[in-house]
Amino acid sequence: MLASEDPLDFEALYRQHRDSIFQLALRLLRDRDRAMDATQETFSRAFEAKDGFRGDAKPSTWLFRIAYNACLARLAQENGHGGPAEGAEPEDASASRPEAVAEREDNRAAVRRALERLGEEDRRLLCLQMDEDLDYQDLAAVLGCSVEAVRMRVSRARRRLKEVLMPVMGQKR
Amino acid sequence: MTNQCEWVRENLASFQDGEAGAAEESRIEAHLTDCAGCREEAQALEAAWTQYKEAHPLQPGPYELSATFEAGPLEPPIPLRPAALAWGTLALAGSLGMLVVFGVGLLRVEQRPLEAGSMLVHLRDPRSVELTLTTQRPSADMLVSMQGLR
Repeated sequence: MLASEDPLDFEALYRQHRDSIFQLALRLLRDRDRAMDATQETFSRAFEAKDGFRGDAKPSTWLFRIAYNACLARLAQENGHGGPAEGAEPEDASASRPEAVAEREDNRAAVRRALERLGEEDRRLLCLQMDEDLDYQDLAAVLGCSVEAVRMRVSRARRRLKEVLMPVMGQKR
Repeated sequence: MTNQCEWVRENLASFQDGEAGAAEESRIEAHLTDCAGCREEAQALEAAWTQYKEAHPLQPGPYELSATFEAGPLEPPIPLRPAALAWGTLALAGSLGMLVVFGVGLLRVEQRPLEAGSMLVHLRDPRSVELTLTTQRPSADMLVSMQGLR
């Protein structure tokens, strides 16, 4: 465990993980403002609950679990109240882009469109797995399931990912 | 496709993630050496995962660009006449505007678009202002102090 992951050192935890939490929220919610709100909510909830943290999991995993649940709650709320449609593309941060990156952006857009064919559970798992600091044990703690279940879910999600991306990958070849 | 192929394909993702046990790893490696079909499947899985990650580049977060104002040295407050306060405020606003324009211009010259970020301003004493504009690159960091604005 890192020194900065001392359960009592909340400020260090915030500094160390705020960007990762924001990136996860952005991948799940696909909206900068909502991702910022979810990040703020995550640390607010964590701060309120920090005295109850027993150290069963790494503090970072604990934070990710709070963030993941906060994002799922927002998604459920938004789906019921006309929020951004599932499958909506994330905001393009570069409205005016140099031609040199146009092709790469087009490829990314094609991939993102293909990813809309992924099931929601698979998509969320892949969003989590994008954070390379989370191993299967961490994922199990975040998702509240066993490591074996994570292994099966990752296998299914990645095979499904290959299926939906094959047409896009074929175009590139 | 044999039963062995099915088992290997079920476990390819964890193998590629470095999450397979030692025994599983050896078994999968041995199978991939002999089975062209599973080797191709492994390459396709890896390529898809790479594509996925490339389609989701890290976005600039709200914490990478920050500007803070801190009050200058604590001195006994000097009462300001209304006219002096107005000129001081005007000078402060103009200076800050130039700093922001300069900062944006510098980032554009460097072909790095300035992302919207959160800005927290604490202005306790307008006579002394310290502005820090921080970007991801140390070379573009600026620290500007202005004192004596009245």
